[in-house]
Amino acid sequence: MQLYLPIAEISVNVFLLLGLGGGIGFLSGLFGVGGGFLMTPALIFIGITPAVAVASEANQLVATSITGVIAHWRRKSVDFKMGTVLLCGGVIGSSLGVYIFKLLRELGQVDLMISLLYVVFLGAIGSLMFAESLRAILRSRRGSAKRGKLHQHTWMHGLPFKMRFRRSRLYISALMPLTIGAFVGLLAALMGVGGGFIMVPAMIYLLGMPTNVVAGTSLFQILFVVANVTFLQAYTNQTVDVILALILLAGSVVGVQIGTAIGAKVSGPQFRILLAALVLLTCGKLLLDLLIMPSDLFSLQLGIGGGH
Amino acid sequence: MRVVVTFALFCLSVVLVMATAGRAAADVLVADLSQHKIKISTGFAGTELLLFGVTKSAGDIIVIVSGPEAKAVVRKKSRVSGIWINADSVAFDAVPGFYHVAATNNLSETKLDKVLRENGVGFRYLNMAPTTKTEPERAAEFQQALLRRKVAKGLYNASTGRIEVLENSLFRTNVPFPANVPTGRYRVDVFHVQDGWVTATTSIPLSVGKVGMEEQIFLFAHDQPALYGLFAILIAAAAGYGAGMMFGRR
Repeated sequence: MQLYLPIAEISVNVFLLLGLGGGIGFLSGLFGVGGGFLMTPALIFIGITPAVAVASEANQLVATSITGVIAHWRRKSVDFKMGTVLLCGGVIGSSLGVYIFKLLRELGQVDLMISLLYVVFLGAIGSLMFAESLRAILRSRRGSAKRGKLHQHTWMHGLPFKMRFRRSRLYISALMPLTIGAFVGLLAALMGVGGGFIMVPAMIYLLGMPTNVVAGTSLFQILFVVANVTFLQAYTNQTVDVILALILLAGSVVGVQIGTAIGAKVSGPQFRILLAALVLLTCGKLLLDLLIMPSDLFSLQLGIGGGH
Repeated sequence: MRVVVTFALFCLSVVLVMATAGRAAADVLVADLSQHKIKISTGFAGTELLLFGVTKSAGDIIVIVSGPEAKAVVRKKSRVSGIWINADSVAFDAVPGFYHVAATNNLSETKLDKVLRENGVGFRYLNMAPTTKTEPERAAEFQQALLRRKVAKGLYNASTGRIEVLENSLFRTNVPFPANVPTGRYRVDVFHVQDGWVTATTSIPLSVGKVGMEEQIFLFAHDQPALYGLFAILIAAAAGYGAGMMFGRR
Protein backbone atom coordinates (compact mmCIF):
# COMPACT_ATOMS: atom_id res chain seq x y z
CA MET A 1 0.00 0.00 0.00
CA GLN A 2 1.55 3.28 -1.13
CA LEU A 3 1.30 6.33 1.07
CA TYR A 4 2.13 9.89 0.06
CA LEU A 5 4.07 11.68 2.79
CA PRO A 6 3.00 15.35 2.88
CA ILE A 7 6.32 16.90 3.94
CA ALA A 8 8.81 14.40 2.52
CA GLU A 9 6.76 14.69 -0.72
CA ILE A 10 7.39 11.15 -1.84
CA SER A 11 5.22 8.08 -2.06
CA VAL A 12 6.42 5.15 0.05
CA ASN A 13 5.12 1.74 0.97
CA VAL A 14 3.46 1.81 4.41
CA PHE A 15 4.57 -1.74 5.20
CA LEU A 16 8.16 -0.85 4.44
CA LEU A 17 7.98 1.99 6.99
CA LEU A 18 6.17 -0.18 9.56
CA GLY A 19 8.75 -2.92 9.03
CA LEU A 20 11.59 -0.44 9.39
CA GLY A 21 10.09 0.94 12.61
CA GLY A 22 9.46 -2.58 13.89
CA GLY A 23 12.90 -3.90 13.02
CA ILE A 24 14.78 -1.01 14.56
CA GLY A 25 12.37 -0.95 17.53
CA PHE A 26 13.14 -4.65 18.02
CA LEU A 27 16.87 -3.90 18.08
CA SER A 28 16.44 -1.03 20.54
CA GLY A 29 14.32 -3.25 22.81
CA LEU A 30 16.80 -6.08 22.56
CA PHE A 31 19.88 -4.00 23.27
CA GLY A 32 18.37 -1.16 25.25
CA VAL A 33 19.55 1.51 22.83
CA GLY A 34 17.68 4.42 21.25
CA GLY A 35 17.82 3.31 17.66
CA GLY A 36 17.98 6.82 16.17
CA PHE A 37 21.48 6.16 14.91
CA LEU A 38 20.16 3.23 12.84
CA MET A 39 16.85 4.79 11.81
CA THR A 40 18.17 8.01 10.25
CA PRO A 41 20.59 6.25 7.85
CA ALA A 42 17.84 3.72 7.02
CA LEU A 43 15.40 6.51 6.11
CA ILE A 44 18.01 8.18 3.91
CA PHE A 45 18.68 4.81 2.31
CA ILE A 46 15.00 4.37 1.28
CA GLY A 47 15.03 7.75 -0.46
CA ILE A 48 13.89 10.29 2.13
CA THR A 49 16.01 13.44 2.01
CA PRO A 50 18.54 13.75 4.87
CA ALA A 51 16.90 16.98 6.05
CA VAL A 52 13.46 15.35 6.46
CA ALA A 53 14.95 12.13 7.88
CA VAL A 54 16.89 13.92 10.62
CA ALA A 55 13.99 16.19 11.62
CA SER A 56 11.27 13.51 11.55
CA GLU A 57 13.41 11.04 13.47
CA ALA A 58 13.82 13.67 16.21
CA ASN A 59 10.03 13.90 16.28
CA GLN A 60 9.69 10.13 16.61
CA LEU A 61 12.23 10.12 19.46
CA VAL A 62 9.93 12.44 21.44
CA ALA A 63 7.38 9.62 21.39
CA THR A 64 9.80 6.80 22.17
CA SER A 65 11.56 8.57 25.05
CA ILE A 66 8.47 9.86 26.89
CA THR A 67 7.33 6.47 28.25
CA GLY A 68 10.85 5.74 29.45
CA VAL A 69 11.05 9.05 31.27
CA ILE A 70 7.71 8.47 33.03
CA ALA A 71 8.74 4.96 34.09
CA HIS A 72 12.08 6.18 35.48
CA TRP A 73 10.43 9.15 37.16
CA ARG A 74 8.07 6.81 39.04
CA ARG A 75 11.03 4.69 40.09
CA LYS A 76 12.72 7.95 41.24
CA SER A 77 15.75 7.16 39.13
CA VAL A 78 15.98 10.60 37.52
CA ASP A 79 18.39 13.22 38.85
CA PHE A 80 16.33 16.26 37.90
CA LYS A 81 18.98 18.78 38.91
CA MET A 82 21.63 17.06 36.81
CA GLY A 83 19.07 16.58 34.03
CA THR A 84 18.23 20.28 34.02
CA VAL A 85 21.88 21.34 33.80
CA LEU A 86 22.47 18.84 30.98
CA LEU A 87 19.31 20.13 29.32
CA CYS A 88 20.46 23.77 29.45
CA GLY A 89 23.55 22.69 27.56
CA GLY A 90 21.39 20.53 25.31
CA VAL A 91 19.14 23.43 24.30
CA ILE A 92 22.15 25.59 23.44
CA GLY A 93 23.82 22.76 21.50
CA SER A 94 20.74 21.66 19.59
CA SER A 95 19.76 25.22 18.66
CA LEU A 96 23.25 25.79 17.32
CA GLY A 97 22.99 22.45 15.50
CA VAL A 98 19.75 23.36 13.72
CA TYR A 99 21.34 26.66 12.63
CA ILE A 100 24.46 24.87 11.30
CA PHE A 101 22.16 22.37 9.56
CA LYS A 102 20.38 25.20 7.74
CA LEU A 103 23.69 26.80 6.75
CA LEU A 104 25.15 23.55 5.41
CA ARG A 105 21.92 22.82 3.54
CA GLU A 106 22.33 26.08 1.65
CA LEU A 107 25.95 25.21 0.89
CA GLY A 108 24.93 21.73 -0.34
CA GLN A 109 27.13 19.97 2.21
CA VAL A 110 24.48 18.56 4.53
CA ASP A 111 24.66 15.02 3.13
CA LEU A 112 28.42 15.00 3.46
CA MET A 113 28.26 16.24 7.05
CA ILE A 114 25.69 13.59 8.03
CA SER A 115 27.69 10.82 6.36
CA LEU A 116 30.96 11.91 7.94
CA LEU A 117 29.48 12.24 11.44
CA TYR A 118 27.88 8.81 11.14
CA VAL A 119 31.07 7.19 9.86
CA VAL A 120 33.10 8.70 12.73
CA PHE A 121 30.63 7.94 15.52
CA LEU A 122 29.37 4.58 14.33
CA GLY A 123 32.96 3.53 13.63
CA ALA A 124 34.20 4.59 17.07
CA ILE A 125 31.26 3.21 19.04
CA GLY A 126 31.04 0.01 17.02
CA SER A 127 34.71 -0.79 17.55
CA LEU A 128 34.60 0.10 21.26
CA MET A 129 31.52 -2.04 21.78
CA PHE A 130 33.01 -4.87 19.74
CA ALA A 131 36.24 -4.82 21.75
CA GLU A 132 34.38 -4.51 25.07
CA SER A 133 32.04 -7.44 24.43
CA LEU A 134 34.88 -9.55 23.06
CA ARG A 135 36.81 -8.88 26.26
CA ALA A 136 33.71 -9.71 28.33
CA ILE A 137 33.29 -13.01 26.49
CA LEU A 138 36.93 -13.92 27.03
CA ARG A 139 36.76 -12.85 30.69
CA SER A 140 33.65 -14.91 31.39
CA ARG A 141 35.43 -17.93 29.89
CA ARG A 142 38.38 -17.41 32.23
CA GLY A 143 35.98 -16.79 35.07
CA SER A 144 37.70 -13.85 36.75
CA ALA A 145 36.51 -10.25 36.83
CA LYS A 146 38.64 -7.23 37.55
CA ARG A 147 37.04 -3.88 38.30
CA GLY A 148 38.62 -0.50 37.77
CA LYS A 149 38.19 2.55 39.96
CA LEU A 150 34.69 4.05 39.78
CA HIS A 151 35.97 7.52 39.13
CA GLN A 152 39.24 9.30 39.30
CA HIS A 153 40.09 12.88 40.08
CA THR A 154 41.32 14.78 37.07
CA TRP A 155 41.77 18.43 36.01
CA MET A 156 38.02 18.53 35.31
CA HIS A 157 37.29 18.45 39.02
CA GLY A 158 39.16 21.71 39.48
CA LEU A 159 36.76 23.75 37.36
CA PRO A 160 34.72 26.59 38.93
CA PHE A 161 30.91 26.84 39.48
CA LYS A 162 30.72 23.75 41.66
CA MET A 163 27.27 22.35 42.26
CA ARG A 164 25.94 19.63 44.51
CA PHE A 165 23.91 16.89 42.78
CA ARG A 166 22.31 15.06 45.68
CA ARG A 167 20.75 12.14 43.87
CA SER A 168 23.93 11.44 41.90
CA ARG A 169 26.01 11.96 45.07
CA LEU A 170 28.33 14.32 43.21
CA TYR A 171 29.89 17.70 43.93
CA ILE A 172 31.25 18.85 40.58
CA SER A 173 31.52 21.92 38.36
CA ALA A 174 28.30 22.69 36.48
CA LEU A 175 30.44 23.40 33.41
CA MET A 176 31.03 19.68 32.87
CA PRO A 177 27.41 18.52 32.47
CA LEU A 178 26.70 21.76 30.58
CA THR A 179 29.42 21.00 28.02
CA ILE A 180 28.42 17.35 27.68
CA GLY A 181 24.77 18.37 27.28
CA ALA A 182 25.68 20.93 24.61
CA PHE A 183 27.79 18.43 22.67
CA VAL A 184 25.08 15.77 22.72
CA GLY A 185 22.44 18.38 21.76
CA LEU A 186 24.56 19.41 18.78
CA LEU A 187 24.77 15.80 17.62
CA ALA A 188 21.02 15.35 18.13
CA ALA A 189 20.30 18.22 15.76
CA LEU A 190 22.91 17.28 13.17
CA MET A 191 22.43 13.51 13.14
CA GLY A 192 18.80 12.98 14.15
CA VAL A 193 19.72 10.87 17.15
CA GLY A 194 18.84 11.04 20.82
CA GLY A 195 22.51 10.84 21.71
CA GLY A 196 22.13 8.26 24.46
CA PHE A 197 25.08 6.35 23.04
CA ILE A 198 27.34 9.33 23.86
CA MET A 199 25.46 10.58 26.90
CA VAL A 200 25.45 7.34 28.90
CA PRO A 201 29.20 6.64 28.70
CA ALA A 202 29.93 10.34 29.31
CA MET A 203 27.79 10.32 32.46
CA ILE A 204 29.43 7.17 33.78
CA TYR A 205 33.05 7.76 32.86
CA LEU A 206 33.39 11.57 32.73
CA LEU A 207 30.94 12.69 35.42
CA GLY A 208 31.16 9.53 37.55
CA MET A 209 27.40 9.25 38.08
CA PRO A 210 26.03 6.12 39.75
CA THR A 211 24.57 3.76 37.14
CA ASN A 212 21.08 3.58 38.68
CA VAL A 213 20.29 7.21 37.75
CA VAL A 214 22.13 7.29 34.40
CA ALA A 215 19.41 5.80 32.18
CA GLY A 216 16.57 7.90 33.65
CA THR A 217 18.52 11.15 33.65
CA SER A 218 19.81 10.73 30.10
CA LEU A 219 16.29 9.92 28.87
CA PHE A 220 14.98 13.02 30.65
CA GLN A 221 17.53 15.19 28.88
CA ILE A 222 17.00 13.44 25.53
CA LEU A 223 13.22 13.97 25.66
CA PHE A 224 13.56 17.73 25.93
CA VAL A 225 16.44 18.00 23.49
CA VAL A 226 14.62 16.07 20.74
CA ALA A 227 11.50 18.16 21.45
CA ASN A 228 13.62 21.29 20.97
CA VAL A 229 15.12 19.89 17.75
CA THR A 230 11.64 19.01 16.45
CA PHE A 231 10.39 22.52 17.14
CA LEU A 232 13.38 24.29 15.63
CA GLN A 233 13.55 22.05 12.54
CA ALA A 234 9.83 22.62 11.98
CA TYR A 235 10.27 26.35 12.50
CA THR A 236 13.41 27.02 10.44
CA ASN A 237 13.48 24.25 7.83
CA GLN A 238 9.87 22.93 7.63
CA THR A 239 11.23 19.41 7.43
CA VAL A 240 9.29 17.58 10.18
CA ASP A 241 6.95 14.96 8.69
CA VAL A 242 4.45 14.05 11.42
CA ILE A 243 2.91 11.24 9.37
CA LEU A 244 6.30 9.63 8.79
CA ALA A 245 7.16 9.90 12.50
CA LEU A 246 3.83 8.37 13.58
CA ILE A 247 4.07 5.40 11.20
CA LEU A 248 7.62 4.67 12.34
CA LEU A 249 6.40 4.92 15.92
CA ALA A 250 3.53 2.48 15.31
CA GLY A 251 6.04 -0.06 13.99
CA SER A 252 8.60 0.55 16.68
CA VAL A 253 6.18 0.22 19.65
CA VAL A 254 5.49 -3.38 18.66
CA GLY A 255 9.14 -4.06 17.83
CA VAL A 256 10.37 -2.71 21.16
CA GLN A 257 7.98 -4.96 23.12
CA ILE A 258 9.18 -8.09 21.32
CA GLY A 259 12.80 -6.98 21.57
CA THR A 260 12.56 -6.29 25.30
CA ALA A 261 10.89 -9.65 25.96
CA ILE A 262 13.59 -11.53 24.11
CA GLY A 263 16.38 -9.34 25.48
CA ALA A 264 15.34 -10.15 29.06
CA LYS A 265 15.88 -13.86 28.38
CA VAL A 266 18.98 -13.87 26.25
CA SER A 267 21.23 -10.98 27.11
CA GLY A 268 24.92 -10.63 27.45
CA PRO A 269 28.07 -9.95 25.51
CA GLN A 270 27.24 -12.47 22.77
CA PHE A 271 24.29 -10.29 21.76
CA ARG A 272 26.16 -7.03 22.22
CA ILE A 273 28.77 -8.25 19.77
CA LEU A 274 25.99 -8.66 17.18
CA LEU A 275 24.85 -5.08 17.70
CA ALA A 276 28.47 -3.95 17.40
CA ALA A 277 28.75 -5.84 14.11
CA LEU A 278 25.53 -4.19 12.86
CA VAL A 279 26.82 -0.74 13.80
CA LEU A 280 30.12 -1.40 12.06
CA LEU A 281 28.28 -2.68 8.98
CA THR A 282 26.21 0.51 8.74
CA CYS A 283 29.38 2.53 9.19
CA GLY A 284 31.11 0.52 6.45
CA LYS A 285 28.26 1.08 4.01
CA LEU A 286 28.30 4.85 4.60
CA LEU A 287 32.09 4.94 4.28
CA LEU A 288 32.01 3.01 1.00
CA ASP A 289 29.47 5.48 -0.39
CA LEU A 290 31.91 8.28 0.36
CA LEU A 291 34.92 6.48 -1.13
CA ILE A 292 33.47 4.87 -4.26
CA MET A 293 33.04 7.11 -7.27
CA PRO A 294 29.31 7.90 -7.59
CA SER A 295 27.56 6.76 -10.78
CA ASP A 296 26.59 10.36 -11.49
CA LEU A 297 28.92 13.06 -10.21
CA PHE A 298 26.14 15.61 -10.49
CA SER A 299 23.27 16.14 -8.12
CA LEU A 300 20.32 18.48 -8.14
CA GLN A 301 19.00 20.63 -5.32
CA LEU A 302 15.75 22.50 -5.79
CA GLY A 303 14.31 25.65 -4.35
CA ILE A 304 17.58 27.22 -3.27
CA GLY A 305 19.22 30.08 -5.10
CA GLY A 306 22.80 31.25 -4.89
CA GLY A 307 25.68 28.84 -5.40
CA HIS A 308 29.22 29.88 -6.12
CA MET B 1 -11.94 -1.12 -17.02
CA ARG B 2 -9.83 2.01 -16.98
CA VAL B 3 -9.15 1.64 -20.68
CA VAL B 4 -12.86 1.40 -21.41
CA VAL B 5 -13.64 4.48 -19.36
CA THR B 6 -10.82 6.38 -20.97
CA PHE B 7 -11.96 5.35 -24.42
CA ALA B 8 -15.56 6.29 -23.70
CA LEU B 9 -14.38 9.64 -22.39
CA PHE B 10 -12.25 10.05 -25.46
CA CYS B 11 -15.13 9.33 -27.84
CA LEU B 12 -17.46 11.64 -25.98
CA SER B 13 -14.91 14.43 -25.93
CA VAL B 14 -14.17 14.02 -29.60
CA VAL B 15 -17.86 14.49 -30.35
CA LEU B 16 -17.92 17.56 -28.15
CA VAL B 17 -14.72 18.89 -29.65
CA MET B 18 -16.04 18.36 -33.17
CA ALA B 19 -19.24 20.15 -32.24
CA THR B 20 -17.31 23.13 -30.89
CA ALA B 21 -14.91 23.00 -33.80
CA GLY B 22 -17.85 23.04 -36.18
CA ARG B 23 -19.11 26.25 -34.65
CA ALA B 24 -15.77 28.01 -34.64
CA ALA B 25 -14.78 27.29 -38.17
CA ALA B 26 -11.66 29.43 -37.99
CA ASP B 27 -10.00 27.13 -35.45
CA VAL B 28 -7.69 24.55 -36.93
CA LEU B 29 -6.77 23.13 -33.54
CA VAL B 30 -8.85 22.17 -30.49
CA ALA B 31 -7.56 20.08 -27.59
CA ASP B 32 -8.39 19.14 -24.01
CA LEU B 33 -7.21 17.00 -21.08
CA SER B 34 -9.15 14.21 -19.36
CA GLN B 35 -8.69 16.13 -16.09
CA HIS B 36 -7.73 19.71 -15.28
CA LYS B 37 -6.61 19.14 -11.72
CA ILE B 38 -4.38 16.36 -10.40
CA LYS B 39 -5.23 15.74 -6.78
CA ILE B 40 -2.50 14.41 -4.54
CA SER B 41 -4.20 12.55 -1.72
CA THR B 42 -2.92 9.98 0.78
CA GLY B 43 -2.86 7.11 -1.70
CA PHE B 44 -1.36 9.08 -4.60
CA ALA B 45 1.20 7.03 -6.51
CA GLY B 46 1.37 8.89 -9.80
CA THR B 47 -1.25 9.18 -12.54
CA GLU B 48 -1.72 9.41 -16.27
CA LEU B 49 -3.81 11.98 -18.12
CA LEU B 50 -5.25 11.67 -21.61
CA LEU B 51 -4.72 14.61 -23.91
CA PHE B 52 -6.92 14.59 -27.00
CA GLY B 53 -8.01 16.94 -29.70
CA VAL B 54 -8.85 17.53 -33.29
CA THR B 55 -7.15 19.41 -36.09
CA LYS B 56 -8.63 20.39 -39.42
CA SER B 57 -5.57 20.66 -41.56
CA ALA B 58 -2.77 18.26 -42.39
CA GLY B 59 0.44 18.59 -40.44
CA ASP B 60 2.05 17.49 -37.21
CA ILE B 61 1.12 17.97 -33.58
CA ILE B 62 3.51 18.74 -30.74
CA VAL B 63 2.47 18.75 -27.08
CA ILE B 64 4.55 20.33 -24.32
CA VAL B 65 3.55 19.95 -20.68
CA SER B 66 5.64 22.05 -18.34
CA GLY B 67 5.50 22.26 -14.54
CA PRO B 68 6.01 25.25 -12.21
CA GLU B 69 9.42 26.88 -12.50
CA ALA B 70 11.85 27.13 -9.61
CA LYS B 71 15.45 27.90 -8.89
CA ALA B 72 17.78 24.91 -8.77
CA VAL B 73 21.42 24.26 -8.00
CA VAL B 74 23.39 21.58 -9.83
CA ARG B 75 26.38 20.33 -7.87
CA LYS B 76 29.33 18.34 -9.08
CA LYS B 77 31.30 16.01 -6.86
CA SER B 78 35.04 15.63 -7.01
CA ARG B 79 37.48 13.63 -4.98
CA VAL B 80 39.03 15.62 -2.14
CA SER B 81 41.54 13.62 -0.09
CA GLY B 82 39.89 10.34 -0.98
CA ILE B 83 36.29 11.38 -0.34
CA TRP B 84 33.74 12.39 -2.96
CA ILE B 85 32.30 15.75 -1.98
CA ASN B 86 30.25 18.47 -3.70
CA ALA B 87 32.93 20.83 -4.90
CA ASP B 88 31.50 22.74 -7.86
CA SER B 89 28.04 24.16 -8.47
CA VAL B 90 26.03 26.14 -11.02
CA ALA B 91 22.67 27.70 -10.15
CA PHE B 92 19.83 27.91 -12.63
CA ASP B 93 16.80 30.12 -12.72
CA ALA B 94 13.36 29.10 -13.94
CA VAL B 95 13.82 25.32 -14.09
CA PRO B 96 10.49 23.61 -14.88
CA GLY B 97 9.61 21.08 -12.18
CA PHE B 98 8.09 18.81 -14.82
CA TYR B 99 8.59 18.60 -18.56
CA HIS B 100 6.98 16.31 -21.09
CA VAL B 101 7.20 16.53 -24.89
CA ALA B 102 5.09 14.46 -27.26
CA ALA B 103 4.90 14.57 -31.05
CA THR B 104 3.27 12.76 -33.94
CA ASN B 105 5.22 9.89 -35.50
CA ASN B 106 5.99 11.64 -38.78
CA LEU B 107 8.14 14.10 -36.95
CA SER B 108 11.62 12.63 -36.56
CA GLU B 109 13.78 13.65 -33.59
CA THR B 110 15.94 15.90 -35.75
CA LYS B 111 12.96 17.54 -37.40
CA LEU B 112 11.30 17.99 -34.01
CA ASP B 113 14.47 19.58 -32.65
CA LYS B 114 14.59 21.95 -35.58
CA VAL B 115 10.94 22.99 -35.13
CA LEU B 116 11.34 23.45 -31.39
CA ARG B 117 14.52 25.47 -31.80
CA GLU B 118 13.22 27.70 -34.57
CA ASN B 119 10.03 28.37 -32.67
CA GLY B 120 11.78 28.67 -29.32
CA VAL B 121 9.62 26.19 -27.42
CA GLY B 122 11.55 22.94 -27.06
CA PHE B 123 13.22 20.57 -24.64
CA ARG B 124 16.83 21.45 -25.26
CA TYR B 125 16.02 25.10 -25.69
CA LEU B 126 14.35 25.70 -22.36
CA ASN B 127 14.86 29.12 -20.96
CA MET B 128 17.22 27.88 -18.28
CA ALA B 129 19.96 30.44 -18.07
CA PRO B 130 22.54 29.82 -15.36
CA THR B 131 22.50 32.57 -12.75
CA THR B 132 26.10 31.75 -11.92
CA LYS B 133 28.60 33.46 -14.22
CA THR B 134 30.28 30.73 -16.21
CA GLU B 135 31.73 29.88 -19.62
CA PRO B 136 29.30 28.26 -22.12
CA GLU B 137 30.85 24.76 -22.11
CA ARG B 138 30.64 24.50 -18.34
CA ALA B 139 27.06 25.83 -18.35
CA ALA B 140 26.14 23.24 -21.00
CA GLU B 141 27.75 20.42 -18.98
CA PHE B 142 25.77 21.36 -15.87
CA GLN B 143 22.57 21.85 -17.85
CA GLN B 144 22.96 18.37 -19.36
CA ALA B 145 23.44 17.02 -15.83
CA LEU B 146 20.29 18.81 -14.69
CA LEU B 147 18.26 17.22 -17.51
CA ARG B 148 19.77 13.81 -16.69
CA ARG B 149 18.82 14.06 -13.00
CA LYS B 150 15.29 15.15 -13.91
CA VAL B 151 14.92 12.25 -16.33
CA ALA B 152 16.19 9.85 -13.65
CA LYS B 153 13.45 11.09 -11.31
CA GLY B 154 10.83 10.58 -14.03
CA LEU B 155 10.05 14.30 -14.11
CA TYR B 156 11.32 14.92 -17.66
CA ASN B 157 10.64 12.41 -20.41
CA ALA B 158 13.76 10.85 -21.86
CA SER B 159 12.26 10.11 -25.26
CA THR B 160 9.55 12.03 -27.00
CA GLY B 161 6.05 10.75 -26.26
CA ARG B 162 3.91 9.43 -29.11
CA ILE B 163 0.80 11.19 -30.38
CA GLU B 164 -1.58 8.89 -32.21
CA VAL B 165 -3.56 10.33 -35.10
CA LEU B 166 -6.84 8.93 -36.39
CA GLU B 167 -8.33 9.82 -39.75
CA ASN B 168 -5.78 12.61 -40.16
CA SER B 169 -7.69 14.78 -37.73
CA LEU B 170 -8.24 13.21 -34.30
CA PHE B 171 -5.23 12.91 -32.05
CA ARG B 172 -4.54 11.56 -28.57
CA THR B 173 -1.62 10.98 -26.25
CA ASN B 174 -1.05 9.89 -22.64
CA VAL B 175 0.91 12.10 -20.28
CA PRO B 176 2.33 10.19 -17.29
CA PHE B 177 2.90 11.98 -13.95
CA PRO B 178 5.10 10.25 -11.35
CA ALA B 179 4.31 10.18 -7.60
CA ASN B 180 6.91 12.89 -6.92
CA VAL B 181 5.28 15.36 -9.34
CA PRO B 182 5.73 18.95 -8.09
CA THR B 183 2.63 20.92 -7.13
CA GLY B 184 1.50 24.17 -8.75
CA ARG B 185 0.21 25.56 -12.04
CA TYR B 186 1.19 23.75 -15.21
CA ARG B 187 1.36 24.92 -18.82
CA VAL B 188 0.00 22.55 -21.43
CA ASP B 189 0.66 23.85 -24.95
CA VAL B 190 -0.42 22.13 -28.14
CA PHE B 191 1.19 23.18 -31.41
CA HIS B 192 0.11 22.45 -34.93
CA VAL B 193 3.11 22.38 -37.26
CA GLN B 194 3.20 22.56 -41.03
CA ASP B 195 6.40 22.63 -43.09
CA GLY B 196 8.47 23.32 -40.02
CA TRP B 197 6.42 26.27 -38.81
CA VAL B 198 3.90 26.53 -36.04
CA THR B 199 0.57 27.40 -37.64
CA ALA B 200 -1.75 27.14 -34.64
CA THR B 201 -1.45 26.82 -30.89
CA THR B 202 -3.79 26.23 -27.99
CA SER B 203 -3.29 26.02 -24.23
CA ILE B 204 -5.08 23.83 -21.68
CA PRO B 205 -5.18 24.72 -17.98
CA LEU B 206 -3.76 22.15 -15.56
CA SER B 207 -2.89 22.32 -11.89
CA VAL B 208 -1.42 19.80 -9.49
CA GLY B 209 -2.24 20.16 -5.82
CA LYS B 210 -2.38 18.30 -2.56
CA VAL B 211 -5.88 17.70 -1.22
CA GLY B 212 -7.39 16.61 2.08
CA MET B 213 -5.02 15.67 4.87
CA GLU B 214 -1.89 16.03 2.71
CA GLU B 215 -2.83 19.62 1.86
CA GLN B 216 -3.75 20.55 5.42
CA ILE B 217 -0.55 19.17 6.93
CA PHE B 218 1.60 20.78 4.26
CA LEU B 219 -0.08 24.19 4.62
CA PHE B 220 0.04 23.96 8.41
CA ALA B 221 3.77 23.18 8.35
CA HIS B 222 4.52 26.06 5.99
CA ASP B 223 2.08 28.75 7.12
CA GLN B 224 2.41 28.31 10.88
CA PRO B 225 5.75 26.57 11.40
CA ALA B 226 5.97 27.40 15.13
CA LEU B 227 2.50 26.05 15.89
CA TYR B 228 3.17 23.02 13.69
CA GLY B 229 6.38 22.31 15.64
CA LEU B 230 4.46 22.35 18.92
CA PHE B 231 1.73 20.20 17.38
CA ALA B 232 4.33 17.67 16.18
CA ILE B 233 5.83 17.44 19.69
CA LEU B 234 2.45 17.10 21.39
CA ILE B 235 1.08 14.48 19.02
CA ALA B 236 4.29 12.44 19.30
CA ALA B 237 4.26 12.72 23.10
CA ALA B 238 0.59 11.69 23.23
CA ALA B 239 1.14 8.79 20.83
CA GLY B 240 4.22 7.64 22.73
CA TYR B 241 2.43 7.89 26.06
CA GLY B 242 -0.64 6.10 24.69
CA ALA B 243 1.49 3.29 23.29
CA GLY B 244 3.26 2.96 26.63
CA MET B 245 -0.07 2.69 28.46
CA MET B 246 -1.40 0.19 25.95
CA PHE B 247 1.43 -2.23 26.42
CA GLY B 248 1.27 -1.62 30.12
CA ARG B 249 3.95 -1.50 32.73
CA ARG B 250 4.47 -4.70 34.59
